[in-house]
Amino acid sequence: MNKERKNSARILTKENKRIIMKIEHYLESRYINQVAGKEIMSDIVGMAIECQERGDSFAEMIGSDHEAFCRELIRNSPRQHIHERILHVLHWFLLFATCLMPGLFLVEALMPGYFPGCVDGLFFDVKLSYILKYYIIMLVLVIGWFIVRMHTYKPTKYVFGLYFAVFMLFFLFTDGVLAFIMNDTLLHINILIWTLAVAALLVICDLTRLVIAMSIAYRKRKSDN
Amino acid sequence: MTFDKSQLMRGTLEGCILKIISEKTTYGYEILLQLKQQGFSDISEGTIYPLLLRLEKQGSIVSKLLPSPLGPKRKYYSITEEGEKYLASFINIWKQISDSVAVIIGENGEG
Repeated sequence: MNKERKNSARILTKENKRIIMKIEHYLESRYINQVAGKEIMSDIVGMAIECQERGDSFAEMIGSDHEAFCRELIRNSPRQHIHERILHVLHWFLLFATCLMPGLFLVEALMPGYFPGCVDGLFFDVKLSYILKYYIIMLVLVIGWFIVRMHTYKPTKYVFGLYFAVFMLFFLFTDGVLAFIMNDTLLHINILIWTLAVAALLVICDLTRLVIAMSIAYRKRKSDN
Repeated sequence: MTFDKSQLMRGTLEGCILKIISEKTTYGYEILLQLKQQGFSDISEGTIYPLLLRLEKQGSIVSKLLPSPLGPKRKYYSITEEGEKYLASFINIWKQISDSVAVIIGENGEG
């Protein structure tokens, strides 16, 4: 988003911010080219600010059906390249992964014996099956995150209900099953190195995605001229 | 059962927006006001913004951010050479269709 518009967005009312956030979530889940998506969001923020300054209703300005408005935007916007799409999913996976291991480490440090493992300084000893279990659950969380965003305009109760049911199903399924079928290995992880490594991967993933998105947008503009 | 106006509106509006932009460099809200003045009373900025995106994507118009008296910089649109050709083609097709429809329905819409 253009810096000037980003700063101006602060003056938006709570209701207008909520409408813009919903549009952003919906568009993000529909694989629009990252550069084009940012430009669209910047335009929408600009429209909302002007609308507010004129004293008009932004909700009415974009029409009675906000989902239809988003669908029209998607129909007329460049889509993500397959590599950009893969990196988009990987971004969320790595983001959750960056938080997961330190999270588990913290739980074990605060409640020793919660996992079949132990914390020793910066080292985390834990069984592979347990780590695998939480990564599978994390994968469900990432997929669920996408599903929730894709259904931004559906009734919240229905979407979250479905998400919670699937999440619990996986939680119960993985609990114990992996420990039962796996020949367990004890992992010896330096939590600091692990976190830094995954965070570095996340940065590389985001930069690569941005470069791909920019090159597609640049190529598109060049072919237009 | 009533006729679905949106189907008819989509292509027509695109041509009208392009015609307005061809007359002078303008921005979304000004286009909306002009369209409303000419009788497109039930359209909103939300209807025309995706069409502007489409026209920009196909290279018929280009945009530029310029200062605005209301808030941040505003996006102004101007027509390209490609857009001029597209508009000429739209006007030509529109004339053919409206003439044919006028013959079938009647000039006053009396059938």
